[in-house]
Amino acid sequence: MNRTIICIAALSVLFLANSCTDDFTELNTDPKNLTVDNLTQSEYSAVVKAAQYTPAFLGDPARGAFQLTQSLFSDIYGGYFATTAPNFNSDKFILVGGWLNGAFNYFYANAAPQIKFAEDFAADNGFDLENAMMKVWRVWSYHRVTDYWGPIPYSEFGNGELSVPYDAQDAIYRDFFTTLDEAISVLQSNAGATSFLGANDLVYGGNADQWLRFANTLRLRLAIRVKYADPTLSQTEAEKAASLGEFIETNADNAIIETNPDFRNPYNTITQWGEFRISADMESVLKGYEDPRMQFYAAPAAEADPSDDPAGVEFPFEGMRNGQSQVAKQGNDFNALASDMAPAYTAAGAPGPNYVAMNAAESYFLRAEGALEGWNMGGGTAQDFYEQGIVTSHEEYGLDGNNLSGNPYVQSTNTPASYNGSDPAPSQVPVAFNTGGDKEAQLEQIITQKWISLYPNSQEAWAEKRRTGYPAFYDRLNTDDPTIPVNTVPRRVTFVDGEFTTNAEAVNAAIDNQLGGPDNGTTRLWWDAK
Amino acid sequence: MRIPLTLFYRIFLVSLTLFGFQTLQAQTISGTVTGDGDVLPGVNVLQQGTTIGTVTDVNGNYSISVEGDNPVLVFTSVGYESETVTVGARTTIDITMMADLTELTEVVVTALGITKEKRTLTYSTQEVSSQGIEEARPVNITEALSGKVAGIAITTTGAGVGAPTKVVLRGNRSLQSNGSQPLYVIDGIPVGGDISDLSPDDIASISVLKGGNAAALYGSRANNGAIIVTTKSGAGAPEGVTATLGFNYQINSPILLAEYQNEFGQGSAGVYSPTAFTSWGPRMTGQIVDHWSNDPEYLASIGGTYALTPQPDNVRDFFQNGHTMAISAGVNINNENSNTSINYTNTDGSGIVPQNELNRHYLNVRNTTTLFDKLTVDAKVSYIRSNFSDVLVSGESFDNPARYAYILPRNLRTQDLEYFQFTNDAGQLRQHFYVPRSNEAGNPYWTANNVQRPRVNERVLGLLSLKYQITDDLSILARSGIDRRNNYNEFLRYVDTYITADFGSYEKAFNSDIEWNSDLLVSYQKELNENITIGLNAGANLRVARFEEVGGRGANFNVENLFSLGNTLQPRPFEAFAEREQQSVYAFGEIGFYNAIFLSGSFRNDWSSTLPEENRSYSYPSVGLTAVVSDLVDLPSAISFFKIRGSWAEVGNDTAPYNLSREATVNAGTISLSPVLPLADLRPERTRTIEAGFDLRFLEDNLRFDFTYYRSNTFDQLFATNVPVASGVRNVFLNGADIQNQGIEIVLGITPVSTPTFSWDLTANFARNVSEVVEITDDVDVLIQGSGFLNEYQIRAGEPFGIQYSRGFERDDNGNVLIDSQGLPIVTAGKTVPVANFQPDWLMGISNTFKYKNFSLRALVDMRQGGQVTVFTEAIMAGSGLLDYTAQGRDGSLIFGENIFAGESAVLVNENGEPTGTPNNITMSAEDLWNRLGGRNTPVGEAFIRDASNIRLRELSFSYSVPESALSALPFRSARVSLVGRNLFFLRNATEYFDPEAVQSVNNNAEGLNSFALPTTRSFGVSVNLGF
Repeated sequence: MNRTIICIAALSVLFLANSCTDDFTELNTDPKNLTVDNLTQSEYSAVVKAAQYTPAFLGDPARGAFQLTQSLFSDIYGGYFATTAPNFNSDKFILVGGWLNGAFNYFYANAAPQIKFAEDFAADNGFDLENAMMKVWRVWSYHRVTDYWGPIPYSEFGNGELSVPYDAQDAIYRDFFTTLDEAISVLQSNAGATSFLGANDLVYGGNADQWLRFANTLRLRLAIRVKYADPTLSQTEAEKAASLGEFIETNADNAIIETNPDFRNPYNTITQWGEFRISADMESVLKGYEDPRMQFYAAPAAEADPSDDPAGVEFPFEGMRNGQSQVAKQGNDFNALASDMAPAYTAAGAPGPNYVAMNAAESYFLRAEGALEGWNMGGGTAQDFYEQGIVTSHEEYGLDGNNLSGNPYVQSTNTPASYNGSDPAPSQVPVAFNTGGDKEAQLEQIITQKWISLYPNSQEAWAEKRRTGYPAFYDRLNTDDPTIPVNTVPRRVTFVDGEFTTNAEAVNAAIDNQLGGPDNGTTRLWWDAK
Repeated sequence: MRIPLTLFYRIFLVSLTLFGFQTLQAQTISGTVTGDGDVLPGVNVLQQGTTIGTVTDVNGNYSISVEGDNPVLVFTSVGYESETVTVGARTTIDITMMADLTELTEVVVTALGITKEKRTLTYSTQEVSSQGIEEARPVNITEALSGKVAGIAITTTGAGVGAPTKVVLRGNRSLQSNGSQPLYVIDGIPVGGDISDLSPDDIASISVLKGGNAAALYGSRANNGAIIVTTKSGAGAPEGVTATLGFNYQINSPILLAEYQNEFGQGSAGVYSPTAFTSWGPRMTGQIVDHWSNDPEYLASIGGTYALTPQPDNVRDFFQNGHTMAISAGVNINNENSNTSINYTNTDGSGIVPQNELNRHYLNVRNTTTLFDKLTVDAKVSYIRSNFSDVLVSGESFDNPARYAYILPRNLRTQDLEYFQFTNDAGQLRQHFYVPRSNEAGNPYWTANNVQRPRVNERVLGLLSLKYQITDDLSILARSGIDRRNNYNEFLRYVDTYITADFGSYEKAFNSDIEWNSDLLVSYQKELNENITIGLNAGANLRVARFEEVGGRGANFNVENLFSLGNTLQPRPFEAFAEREQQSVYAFGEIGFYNAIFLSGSFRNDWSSTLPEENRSYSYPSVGLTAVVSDLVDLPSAISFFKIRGSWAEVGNDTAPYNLSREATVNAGTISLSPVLPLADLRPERTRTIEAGFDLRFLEDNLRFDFTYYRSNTFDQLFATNVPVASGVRNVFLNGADIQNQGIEIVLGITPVSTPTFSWDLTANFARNVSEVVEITDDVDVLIQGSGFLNEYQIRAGEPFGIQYSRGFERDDNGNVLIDSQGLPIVTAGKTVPVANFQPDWLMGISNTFKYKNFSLRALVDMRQGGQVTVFTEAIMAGSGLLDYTAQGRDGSLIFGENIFAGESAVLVNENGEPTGTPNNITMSAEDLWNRLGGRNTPVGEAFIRDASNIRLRELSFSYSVPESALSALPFRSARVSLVGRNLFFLRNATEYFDPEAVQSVNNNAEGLNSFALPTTRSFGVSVNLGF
């Protein structure tokens, strides 16, 4: 009898165990999320949206990355802002590895995979137009990354291997131009078309013609960028863009991602932290020019100093010098003494200003520089493009093109002013185009105005500062890196810790073979060859 | 040892003689002794204070002739608490003895709740008495295990009263972030949570199954060992209705160890600044300076200025004395076939941070009934409701008030800070602080009061067990138990909570965590002949676990400080869900020869829903052998017991749900690809353990020595490895790694004296564990487990587990520190220097228990040798010029390697940064040095390491049991009063400035890091226990 009972028990036990595992696969499927392998066309547009939001730092996890990428480096090397947080030493040229690690990892872990998936999925499914759009977006996204580090993983991104080789910057730029050729050809053949993405294309609502303008203007940006490194390539690509003639020419064509409560302008988060203020360079230039755009860029300082305002003009915006010592930052309340960003950027929880990937003003300044070189920019002189760029930038903010004293801005002979009434302005370049000036003087005017119009796109501003040396900045008060003196800016940022841990072979090969110098902040990028 | 023991026996004999004088008249008493529902043979019966004694017969009966006035009988038996009875006029005294789990009982609770004779076990196990936990009770009872079990390491977190603990048995072995935690089992049923909220009053015993060998039957989840709790069932209590009442009150005061400087005030470069976060200001001499207040009315009321004077107590003032009060009541209703036990405990606690309070109700009802002689029904329901007023945020969080308290400039006055809020002209509540909307600091009193995380945890533990004794040899057990935990969490931040919620924020969430286990177990026990016994068992288990959460969060109030989601600008919902199931069959058995040699084995097969179909089923065996040598061969008479044992076991483990395919997360209209690439064909993780040891006792068990050696290897681990982020993902799940832990454990017990009136017991637990990462994978040599501002936890092949890397000093080939042209040490750019490992060299606990008549004194000393802590708190405090040693060299007279870091040799570098060999002679200021080394963003870990060795008086209790003679006039059956203390003081603390036990969280990547952990506390109080 005992044996019978044991047998029954054992059998029932085995039956219980084996018959019930059929639903395990279903049980182990997350009901709250999808899996990458099962994504279909109906979900594709939502992937594209993420591909567009992420490199623009829109969305929740991006805000911290935005600080690590832009606020702590290009914002203060591009000259828009200075640091008030006592122990933030990137303002004194310390390239803090942990911050850069966060910057690098954010792009590669969050943005790059979305872009690649969006581009590849479109190719695999015959979405030619969408594939072309994503190609343009890839170029726009990656050029900002290579402009930070120089050699980066690019062509082999997503190889799924334990080592991902870096590409040299010149190779990357050449691929950008090839990629834009491919994309532009598809966009041209889709003239007048609208992508099925519709409003899910956050940049242009699926408008192929506008994407063409964006692609072509981006080509011009990159062409001008390589001017000193490879003048022939630069001229060829710039004139190719001019011959196509499709540029972002009105602000209605600007490449913009609209912010919303879920995807706020990242400045609206990081301004809450009170870690930076407007730079003395900003005050010097915009105060000297009596520039009416300042009200859209900055807020009056809590403790404004009216004594250094231009005669007859109320200019309550204050800047502070970069590279303040820790002692000075502990002893002065710079957050009250200098201006924060404008209220649109500081309204807590508000979506904030739209994200501008590229605007019309820039396309004019780029053509102005091409014309300055004597290249065929499709007709028009450097002065024409320069003045058109200034006016277009004013129009972007709804301004009529006059300065704060009510005079026509473009004809103003105003020059940058001392930020504090004692230290002279770093430059004496006027607004009015110096028709009799030499090429370099005119270039300084073009880049200075481009710098104003790009605000707050410091990634582009820092790249152009490195490339051209303009605008002129005040010396930093202190540098903690003796190899980077106070009268310059870092030429790049260093490769990141995580790469030396996980991708050491590749990053060391990049240092040995592609970077062209030691892995520090003084080694110039390929295009930084003036 | 032999000589003192002889001496003790002499004292014993002398004392018996001394107390044996009062001989007047004889009186004969008889009766029956029972225990556990059976008659007890072999119980010693002794007249107190005399040599008169007898022993109960096979039926538990005794008869004894006593002498003298007011005789008192003492009944003692191994495994039972001694009973003391005043005879009075009675001639018949029946006694029911209560099982005593405080001694080395011969019966222990093992896996699946099965009680076994200890002599048959092939592995080591240790039990912890309930009495010590009840008296010197911490709010989280796992803390009470520290020092009492060899091989257990316990650290606490800074969440305030009732905070979680990290419990590690025999070393960290898992690469999953909190994967080294043991399994908790209550009354034979694994639970989903831990045991932190159980009432000590309701615990009969805790056994600790340290290795895979002991825990193999629990399968997957027990590869880190198991902690087995047996709650009181009422068994052993006298027949009829009895009751107990308990009261425990303790005061907890913070142990603050950091030494502050009290010479220099707020500012920088010797200049006062009311907006500075640092204390590098002027020497404080009472000079009148501007007051910092941002409330115009307050500023006016104090005249706008104040004297700059040291405030040595401003940090201490922030912390208050906490308390815990526990009131418990228990009722047992016992009759021949049924035991019913009802226990209720209310615990009321307050922490050392204002507003941090806990109120917990614990109700447990259990009934065990035997029906028709064959069927035993055991049913239990526990309900636990814990109401936390504010669960503290730990670590370097803006929500942690300690973060702000520790870094108060040395001149800030408590009275100004206590005025932490004010109403401005617009009628709005605002924070009173010296730099409004700063992201460096805030008013700690504001954070304590206006950043609140109320939480209500409700837990229901249910158990229903039916055991049918089919024949004398064969039984079948069906058992089902559920652990359901519902948590209600809120997070409130008032408007003007700097940086995190300038305009207020609110979050509310509800989650539910269910773990449901059902077992069917058939057991067959047979004595084949007088020399061979067998036990065979087969069973099956079904485990279902589900977690669900739903909540919402929002910020930026429309109406200030109205905490409602609808009042936030953009409330967002969030939810989480995870479900898993595991089915198992298992069999185990043992065969015994001559009641002295036992061979045991087990086999288990699991099917887990979280693994891929082809690897879903996995099985693992264990085998063990033990021999009681002292029963088999003649040993010298001094050896009273000698047992050797050895075992081998393997345990498999599955993974978390949804780890097989790469997720695409849907959020706010977008789909994001997960940066983690799972392994579609991952295999179950395995831990293989060998264990061998012996149990040797001398001199009638008065000297006991238990030795264990073990080695465990955990391999095929499931872990996410860092891959080049440009490969397309950040982490890839891999199977691999082999983490080895080996060590020894020694339990030494000495009973120098054991008489009915006086006894002394000494128990020492010693454990040493050595870990090694044998390999990770062929392609991966380094895993980064976690990274913060100060340190990075790395797992490296060939090195011990848990090494922290940080920035360090740049050195030349001879180890000299390189010094730059300003006299400052040059620091490595990355966290490339191994600086610390928290794993101790050894741990030891020594417990002494003295009993004299009705008094008992118990002291537990807990020792830790070796291991280091990196102290992020100190890096920031030093960088801010707060610590005592930062007062030195403010005049710029420091020379690195001479009068500061004197243990280092330092050399200068030339313009190219190359070492010159010239000894450093450049002076620098303290502010420059500590700014270079300390601070938040790039601190130099090498400068902020502290030795974690310490010796502390962990527990002390002094108890008095009121003699029954004194109770006869009162309605009590028993009464005990105790004075208790926990964590009373350090006998040695090499860490000096901190308590190395205070860590940030229970994760692998927080152990050995002090990041603004709350001070640990010293407790003392009183405990009263009454029986009716």
